[in-house]
Amino acid sequence: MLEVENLSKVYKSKKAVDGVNLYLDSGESIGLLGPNGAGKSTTISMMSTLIRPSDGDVRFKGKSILKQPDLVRPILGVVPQEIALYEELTAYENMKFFGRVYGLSGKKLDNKVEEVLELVGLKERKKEKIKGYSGGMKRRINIAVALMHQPELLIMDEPTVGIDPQSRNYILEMVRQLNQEKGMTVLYTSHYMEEVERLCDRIYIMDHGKVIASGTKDELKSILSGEETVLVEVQHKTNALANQIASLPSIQKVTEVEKGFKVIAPKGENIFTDVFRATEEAGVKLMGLHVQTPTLEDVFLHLTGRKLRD
Amino acid sequence: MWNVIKKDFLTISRDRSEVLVLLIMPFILIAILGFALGDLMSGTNGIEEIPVALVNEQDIDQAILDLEVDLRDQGIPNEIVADLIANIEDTDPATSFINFLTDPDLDDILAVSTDYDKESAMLALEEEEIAAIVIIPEQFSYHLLSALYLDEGTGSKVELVVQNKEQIQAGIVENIVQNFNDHFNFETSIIQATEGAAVQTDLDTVSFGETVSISMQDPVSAFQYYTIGMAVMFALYVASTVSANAFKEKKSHVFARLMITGETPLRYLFGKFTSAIFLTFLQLAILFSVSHLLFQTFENKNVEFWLVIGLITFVFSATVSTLAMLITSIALRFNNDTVSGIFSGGVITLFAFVGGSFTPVEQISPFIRELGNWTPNGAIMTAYLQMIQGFEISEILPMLYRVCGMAILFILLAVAIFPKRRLT
Repeated sequence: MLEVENLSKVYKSKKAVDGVNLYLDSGESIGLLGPNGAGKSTTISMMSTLIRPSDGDVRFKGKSILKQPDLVRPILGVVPQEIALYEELTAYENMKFFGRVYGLSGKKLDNKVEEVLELVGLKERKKEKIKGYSGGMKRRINIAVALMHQPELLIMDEPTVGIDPQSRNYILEMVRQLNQEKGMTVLYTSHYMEEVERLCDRIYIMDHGKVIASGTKDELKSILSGEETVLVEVQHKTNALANQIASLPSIQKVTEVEKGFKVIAPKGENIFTDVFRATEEAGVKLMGLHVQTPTLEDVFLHLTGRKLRD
Repeated sequence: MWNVIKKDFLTISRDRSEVLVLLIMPFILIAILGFALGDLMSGTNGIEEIPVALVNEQDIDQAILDLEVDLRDQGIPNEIVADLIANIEDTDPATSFINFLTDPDLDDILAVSTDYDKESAMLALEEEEIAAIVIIPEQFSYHLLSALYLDEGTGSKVELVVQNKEQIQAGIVENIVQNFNDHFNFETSIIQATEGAAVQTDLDTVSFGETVSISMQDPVSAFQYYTIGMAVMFALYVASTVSANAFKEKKSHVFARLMITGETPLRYLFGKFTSAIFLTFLQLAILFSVSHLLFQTFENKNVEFWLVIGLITFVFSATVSTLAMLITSIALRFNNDTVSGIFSGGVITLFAFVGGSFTPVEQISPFIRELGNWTPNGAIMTAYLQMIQGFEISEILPMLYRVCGMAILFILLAVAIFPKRRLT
C-alpha cells in the first residue's frame, strides 16, 4: 500500500531522519517505536505529504506521492500529536467543520458526525466546547476528526500522550477495533512499548533518525533469544552495588529500575551466585531474583543501551 | 467558503477579549468622545448660527454730501460730479457690506442683528450673548470713496470686535469680514485700473475661505465624526485578529491538518480574506447601527446615502482583509506572530492618529491630513465624512480608488510573501 524508500530529512546541519525504509500493507497495523526525538514525527510528516523530504521517496500503490500528494490525501487520516482542534468550538462544530472540509455535506455529514461521536464515546458531550474537555476527551475528538472521511490509512502520532489510563485504554481499544473490525490500515507511533506491543502486527524501532530494527513482536524479541533478563530486587539501591554487578564477567547490561536493577546476561549462564555474592559484599539485602520474559523495552535497551523513555 | 467564514466568526465571537476590542471598546469610545467633544465640534447639530451685532455708525447722506463738495472743490465739472454721485448712491460700500452680511446664503452661519448701538453691543459681547460686533465706522463710505475717486487718504476699515480671538466662532466672523474686505479691495482696484470700465471677476461671491466653505456643506456632528473615526480604527483590529488566529492554527497544527485534506496554501490565504471581509463588514454594520439607534447618528438619510455608505464599507472591509492577508503571510513566512502584535500595538494607533480618528487632524496640520489620506483608514474616513457632508459620489470616488489601489498592493505583497510550499 505505502512504501518508504531511503527517506531523509535534514534541518540545517541536523539529520532528523536518516535513510528510513519501511512499508505498510493494506489492513496491517504497524508500530513506529522510539524515544522522543528519534525522528518518528518527522517521518510520518513526510509520509503524510506535510513536509518535503531532503532525500528518498514515498510511494502509494507504486506512485510517488511527493510529486502527486493528492493521490494519497483522500484516503489518509492523520492524528497529530498536538490537539489540532478549535478550542472555542464545540466537538460537534469541530467535526462539522472538518467534515465539510473533507467534502461531506447534508445528511451524509450529519450521520457521519453522529457515527464517529458514537465511536469515540462522546455523543453525550458533543455540545461542549473543546477547551472544557479533559485531556483524554480532547485526544478522542482529535482522533474523531481524522476519521470523518472514512480513511483507508490512519496515521497516529503519539495519540495517548499525557492522558489518564482509562482514556488511554479507550483509545487503544478504539484503534484495535478500527484495524481489526473495520480493516483500516494503521501506522501507530509511540514511545510506550506496551501500546505498540498490544496493537501492532509489525514494529519499526527508530533511534537517532534511523530504523534500528524491524519485524513482528516475536522477531524483535528473538534478538534477545540468546539472552535473558533478570530482575534483581534489593532493599535499597546503591551505586556501588550497580557497579559491582556491572563488573561481573557474565553480565552484559545493568539498568536501574524501581525495585532494584534489571540485568541482561547470556542465556544458560548462572549469574545468581555471582549476584548474591555481590549484594552481600555491598552490604545490601537481596529481596528477590526474577527471570523475566523479554519485552520490546529490553530489545531497545539491548540495541541502544538506553531506555525508551530516557 | 461559508464553512471557513462560519468557523472564524464562531471562534472570534466566543473570545471575550476579541469582542471587547472589536465591538465594546469602539462603542465606549464613540459614546465618551461624542458626549465629551460634542460642544467643541458644535454639538449634535453641527455649527450653530453665530450671533453677530452689526452697528452702523455712518450717515450715508452726509457722506455723499461731503464727497460732492470735495469733488467740486477739485474742479471736476458739475455733470461728471452728478453722474458720480448718482452712481455712488447705488454702490455705497457700506450698503454692499450690510447686504453681504444679511444675505440669505449666510443665514445658516450668521444671525446678524442691527438692533444694537455700540455700547449695548459691547455689553452683549461681555455677557456672551453675541460672538462678535461688526462696526461700520462713522465716515466709512466717505473715506473709502475719497480714496477711490480723489486719491486722498488710505481708505477705511470695518471694525470687528470679538471677546476671544481664539474662539472658532470669532475666527469664522473674522474670516467672513476679511473676505469681504479683500473682495471689495480687489474689485475697486480693477475699477481704478480700468478707469471705471465694468469687468467680470472670477471671484465667487460666496467663497468665504477654507473654514467657511467646509461649513457650507452639511455639518458633521461629533457622534458622526467619532462613529466613523472609531469604526475605521477598530476595523483594523480585525486584520490582526484574523492573522493571529491563522498563526494559532499553524501552531496548533490545525493548518497542517487542513493541508492534508487537500487544501492549498493560497486557497487558505484567500479563505482568510473572505472571513476578514465578512467580519469587518459585520463589525462596521453593528457599530453604525448601534450608534444610530442610541445617538440618532445618521438621522434623515436617504436610500442613496446608505447605498454609498454600504459601498464605502465594502471597499474598506476588502482593504482590511488584504491587510489581514499580508500580516498572515508575514507571520507564517517567518514563523513568528510578532508582526500581529506590532500591528495591533503600534501601527493601528499611528494610522488612527494620522487618519484623524482621534481628532480632525487638518486643524493640526494639512500635511498630516494629506499623510492620513494615504492610510486605508484615513482615506476611507475622508470618504465617509464627505458622504455625510453631502458630497457627490463622483467627488468621493478618488478616495475609494486610492483605497482600492492600496488593497491591490497588499494582496500582491501577501501572495508574494506567503509560503506556498507544504508547511508544518
